[in-house]
Amino acid sequence: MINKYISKVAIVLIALVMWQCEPKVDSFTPSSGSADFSSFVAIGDSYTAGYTDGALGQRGQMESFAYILAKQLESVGSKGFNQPMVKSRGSVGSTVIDESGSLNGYYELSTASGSLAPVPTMGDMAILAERVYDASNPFHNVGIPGAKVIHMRYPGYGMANPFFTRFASNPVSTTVIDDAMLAKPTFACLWIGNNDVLGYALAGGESDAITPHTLFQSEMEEVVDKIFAEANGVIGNIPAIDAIPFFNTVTYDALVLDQATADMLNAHPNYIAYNQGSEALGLDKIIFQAGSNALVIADEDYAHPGKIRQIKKGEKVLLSASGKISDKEIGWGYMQPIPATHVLDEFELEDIRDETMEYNSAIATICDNEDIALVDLSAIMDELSTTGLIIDGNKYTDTFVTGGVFSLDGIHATGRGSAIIANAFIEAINKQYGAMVPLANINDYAGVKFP
Amino acid sequence: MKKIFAMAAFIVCGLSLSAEGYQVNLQGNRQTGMGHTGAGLLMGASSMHFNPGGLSFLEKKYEFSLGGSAIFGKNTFQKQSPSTYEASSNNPLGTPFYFYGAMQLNDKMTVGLSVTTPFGNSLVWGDDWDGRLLIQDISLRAIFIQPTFAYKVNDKLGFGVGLMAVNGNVNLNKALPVQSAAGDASVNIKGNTWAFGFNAGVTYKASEALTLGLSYRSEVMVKLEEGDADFSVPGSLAGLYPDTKFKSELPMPSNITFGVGYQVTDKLLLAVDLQHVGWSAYESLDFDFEAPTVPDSKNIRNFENTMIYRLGAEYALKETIDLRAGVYYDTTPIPEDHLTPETPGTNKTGFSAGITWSINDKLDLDGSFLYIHGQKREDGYAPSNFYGTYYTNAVIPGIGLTYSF
Repeated sequence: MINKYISKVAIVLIALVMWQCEPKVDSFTPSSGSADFSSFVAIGDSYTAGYTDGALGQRGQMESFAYILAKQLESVGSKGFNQPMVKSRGSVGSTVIDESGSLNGYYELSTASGSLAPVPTMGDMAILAERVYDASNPFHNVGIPGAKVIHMRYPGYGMANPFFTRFASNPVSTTVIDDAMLAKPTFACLWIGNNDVLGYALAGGESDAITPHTLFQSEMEEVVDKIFAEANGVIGNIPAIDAIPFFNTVTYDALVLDQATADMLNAHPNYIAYNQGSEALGLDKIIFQAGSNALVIADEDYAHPGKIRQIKKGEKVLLSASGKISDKEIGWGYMQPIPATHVLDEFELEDIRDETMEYNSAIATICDNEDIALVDLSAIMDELSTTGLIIDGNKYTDTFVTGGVFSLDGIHATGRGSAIIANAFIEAINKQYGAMVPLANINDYAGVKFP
Repeated sequence: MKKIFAMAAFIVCGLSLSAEGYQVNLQGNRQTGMGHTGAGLLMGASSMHFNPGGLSFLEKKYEFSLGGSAIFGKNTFQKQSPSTYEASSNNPLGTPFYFYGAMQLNDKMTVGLSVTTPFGNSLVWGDDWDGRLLIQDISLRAIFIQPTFAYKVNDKLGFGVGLMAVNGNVNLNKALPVQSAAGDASVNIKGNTWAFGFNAGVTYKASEALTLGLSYRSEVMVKLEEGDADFSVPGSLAGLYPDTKFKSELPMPSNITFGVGYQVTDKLLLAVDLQHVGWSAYESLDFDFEAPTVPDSKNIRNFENTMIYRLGAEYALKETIDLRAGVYYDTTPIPEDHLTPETPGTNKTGFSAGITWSINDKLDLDGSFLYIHGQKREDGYAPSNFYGTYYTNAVIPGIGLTYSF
């Protein structure tokens, strides 16, 4: 009798185990709020395209912030995101071209030179010649590496930029904006304007030009009027581009000398002559010492007839100069001055900062007037370059290679960096449209891969 | 049929922690059945854990008690809104157990030995889950071996003391924020060591019906001097992250329990326990690595002291059957913004039932069943900025034998 009783109790208890061991979860339900995400189109530059590690290829295209954003929008009604995919498994870039012109593929981290460093791989030039346009299947990702806001309404831009030629409906006559409208966006994401300052900065302020903010504003207004005539959407502002690793990895005092080399340089006739001139003009001398020294740069506007000086703290040396600084045969920064094309001096930096500020106030005004969501990427960049961003157990900074956000070109984002940007767009969208678009999991995406 | 049910339950659930922090309160099936009260009860040999003062009132000359529990528990994590991400821990089945053996030396003195597992934690979130940079899996177990001496001053008053030798074992894996083509780097941390403490208690039979008890168990700081850290990192970083030794320490917090037992009628016994747990000893979890290139790891915990409130009842259904029921409320020691997936604590309510079947006048079969419901808790760990809602449930059947003569 007891046995029977116990077995009954046991069955009840086991049933309880079955029923209660799985906690009841109040599941999250995505919602679109007041926005219609059915046709989502992203318009922008290399960040939108998925350019990373110095090149464009399938890997980056599948981890662009625009693609990640589109994937998150699937749960609130987005019906697909057609991208102008690179056909081959290769990659091609415009920022790294050696003498042979072929090492313009993705950078990879390698220990080949003895220390861990990014090295470019073979590029696939065929990518720039391929045509992927298909009239029956318009593109939702209209991101064009190198594009500025002033290119958006420029007919025949496809003739000027091979990254657009690839997928323009008619490279000779169409504009970026006209092609973006082919997918009839109900919701658009626009992040353009980085290159309006970055092009100049990457040239050390010696060629290209900063787009004047008045022109930036009027072009932006035209672009926004067209894109957002029928569509809701979101616009990203312009982060402080001088905070990216490309301008901060080579520090102003990166020249480390031993006493013998410092003595040798100080005794060099050129520096003796230079310092005599400095004394006569009441300018700073160049005296080397053991340890860290400010790099010597070319400066056409400098009062000294030698037209060289030591770089000041706060001025920037481009990442692209690092090889020739560490190469003792070339000796940029002490044996010969770093050319102005590889330096941003204080005046150039001031121009970049002033104009960026003007751009951002123009973007804020436009978003405000048109009721478009605004993503403050500038604030995120500031956080990244000061305190860093802690997300899901990882700390992200603007440090080259190890910071996690920037890829091996020091300019563009890693997959995780792209996901952080995508989440910033999602938060702005949710706020503006009362939507509940789920955030991406940053840890699902790739960072810099170590060998 | 029963077997199928049991198998299914086994697959669905796994072992998880059953009380707050990493304390496991399952050290006697009779007490578990009564909401885990015991400081004011005279439960024979198992008093060694609950209140060694009670051991002095052992009824027979010898008593042995042996038992264990199976914790079927599940933790579910739902990432902070807006997110569709959910993960559930897939924990291995583990079994807290106890053994008590006691012998009366004479009218006044009783000695005993207990082996218990009052602390432990076993959680497997998986290698690829979203919180992997905080924890992938953890297994923590402490075995307490306790020789105990009890002295009966008179028929009303007894006290007891025990020396606790603690074997602590930890094994955990977490991902590191470095990637190679093969995925995330990771580290395995493991170690085993001994530490010591004591417990003491006093039992006072205020009247025929009323028993009072006060029990203290000291904090045991388990100090690991030579743990092993095994890094799996990309080859280019292997020189910076060699396999190395580390030092760390983890407190097993003190317990002060005041208990009352009241024999309402011949058949009905009621018990109340108030248990204070000294969790504030757990300030941080630090790993001090021997290799100079491996940065030391400091993880703030800032646990707070807690109270557990327990109520229990025993009803003598007939000569050979005792039925039990109880309830308790266990507050969490983990303050806001300090909640990690390694110990996803929350305020918990436990409902228990139990039975003892006296097979003959020497042998008793003890069974207990405990259901723990954790309040859903929306919180996270600020230093890692990992937030979400944690859900915790557990059902814990237990079985044991008591043999006395």
